[in-house]
Amino acid sequence: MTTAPVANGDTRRRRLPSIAYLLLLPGMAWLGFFFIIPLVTLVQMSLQSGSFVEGYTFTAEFSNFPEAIGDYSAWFIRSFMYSGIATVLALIIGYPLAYTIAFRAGRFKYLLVTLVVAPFFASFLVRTIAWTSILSDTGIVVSVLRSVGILGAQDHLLATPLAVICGLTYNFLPFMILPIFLSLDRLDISMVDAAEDLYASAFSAFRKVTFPLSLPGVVAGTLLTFIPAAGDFINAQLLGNSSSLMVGNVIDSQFLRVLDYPTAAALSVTLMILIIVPVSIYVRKTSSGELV
Amino acid sequence: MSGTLELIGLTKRFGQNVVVDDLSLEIPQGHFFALLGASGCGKTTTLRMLAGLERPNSGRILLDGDDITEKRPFKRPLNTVFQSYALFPHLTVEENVAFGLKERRQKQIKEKVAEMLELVELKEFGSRKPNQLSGGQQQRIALARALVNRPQVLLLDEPLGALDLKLRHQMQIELKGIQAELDLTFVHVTHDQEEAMTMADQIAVMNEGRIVQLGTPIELYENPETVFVANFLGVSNLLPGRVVGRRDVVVEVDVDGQRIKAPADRNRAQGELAHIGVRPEKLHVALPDFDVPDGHNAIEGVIVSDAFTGVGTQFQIRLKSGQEVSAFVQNRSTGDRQAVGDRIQLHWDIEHTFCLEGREDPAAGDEARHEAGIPAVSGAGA
Repeated sequence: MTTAPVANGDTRRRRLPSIAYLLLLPGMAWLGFFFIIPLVTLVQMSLQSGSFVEGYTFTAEFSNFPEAIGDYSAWFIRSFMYSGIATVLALIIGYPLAYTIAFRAGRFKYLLVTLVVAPFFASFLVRTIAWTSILSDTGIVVSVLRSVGILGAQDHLLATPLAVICGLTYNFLPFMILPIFLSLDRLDISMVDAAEDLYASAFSAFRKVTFPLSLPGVVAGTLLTFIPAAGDFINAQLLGNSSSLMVGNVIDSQFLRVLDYPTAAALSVTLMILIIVPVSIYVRKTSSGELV
Repeated sequence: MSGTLELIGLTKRFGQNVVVDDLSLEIPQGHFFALLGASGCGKTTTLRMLAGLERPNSGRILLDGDDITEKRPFKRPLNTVFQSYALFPHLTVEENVAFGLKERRQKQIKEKVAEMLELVELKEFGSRKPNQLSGGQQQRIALARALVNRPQVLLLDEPLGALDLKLRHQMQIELKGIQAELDLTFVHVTHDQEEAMTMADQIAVMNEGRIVQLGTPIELYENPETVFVANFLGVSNLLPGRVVGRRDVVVEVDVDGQRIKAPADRNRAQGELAHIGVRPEKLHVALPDFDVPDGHNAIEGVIVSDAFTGVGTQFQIRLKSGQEVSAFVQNRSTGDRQAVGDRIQLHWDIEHTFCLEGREDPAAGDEARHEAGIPAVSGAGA
């Protein structure tokens, strides 16, 4: 009798891991089917050779990579430049907004958070198409800028790199605002009181306490903005011109129009590596001080 | 060294709610001053106004005669130990302590920080992060972070609230020691009457934004001026009665047909109605035929319960009126002990009697004390 509970406890302890694995199974299966297998297929495809008509075969054709990178380096550079600028802009716009919502909005706080995500009720494509009419030559923005002389009669907004960057900034702005808002919202306001009590001016308190404590949100926000923006092709396609295309557009056309699968796959893999490497350095650097 | 604080007609409203109501107070240099009250009495708001974290709607705050009412917090030579400590989690212990010195561009920061960490006995923890420390250690760091700036006044907002009882007692003694050693003015906000009495030179008891009584712990305990103070600080037996005679030195009050006397200078009853008050440990429990000494009040009753606590016995005694009073008798007698059901006579020194205004609610202050988490019947000797 006295040993029974102990034995029970033992079996329960022995069983727990298998139940945990069982619970992980759906997630693992999902990742396996929709992430691992496509990824392996993509890498395998990037090393194929041949033509669409004759069929592509796996020949470990590593030369696909230098060729693709050599041919399309300008598109890569442009992608990282546009998404980098968009990320910086989103941070400049998003941080003050998140700060205001977290600390100054009072009872309107959660209403404003809802408004930040409200654009998601419309599809990504529709929102971007809406920008084509906002920025069109007959739209209000261009006519106002022309009337005050900032834009000349021959200048446009639509079909320029500026329009692409504006579109990227707009589309990914909520991904910047939400994580920053969350980290500011859970910040203990007595930290700021303590900083001011310890002779820090309002600016100094922000620089030394509020901002460092919101860094996890800033890191998450910049990643959530930069990564999808770097691979985006919708904004460049709808708002840009032929000389403002991004690497996403190249991949899109190589896959669907040129039908050069190995080149398209090599470009995709290269883009992935080019994003993963700096991002992991960035994350390691910013999280070294136990930010979260 | 200076640090005399003067509060003149300080008032703070949040919307329609008057939180601090025309509060005036002088806190002399070098005093350990406690603001004592239940939650919502305005004590923390008062402290935040001193720190500059809240702006008063009216009134002034003077520090050594200088008006600091409008000064921003970082311009005031006062530092605060916050209730939740508010240590910066992204900085090490050393960086936390050095924060104020760096902001004021002081010299020899390293030495000063090391010296202060030594004072709070956490020298070897300098490179840790606050979340790697225990509650008591965090509390000391918060103290060190404030004290390293050599403030003229140190403000403490329930600094021991999050610690367990044993640690709290230890920190009470340490805080008091540090205050005496540095000869600083401490303003300590607390809801814990025992903590306030243990540490403070002077206590201001606050209720609904006002100071109800100001004095030394002994004055407040021995001579409460209101029912609120009598109940909030320690335990009081309050017997309703009518004032029947006022003489030079004593007032006489009729309590259920018995004449009870109280010193005239401890009488706060304005009209006929009064509450006679006496602390449980002042009562003597005697046999009914006991010859009550001169200068004592006496009243009869029956013991309804006794609880032996080692150092003494806590009796509940029912009076003829049906009211129950508590008496704490120290464990010093050698003969028979009184037991439940015994008819007894309670007597106590007239000097230990206080007489309060009878129109006050006899339960005033009880609720406040319950909120503060202190049991109504705590052994007076414990």
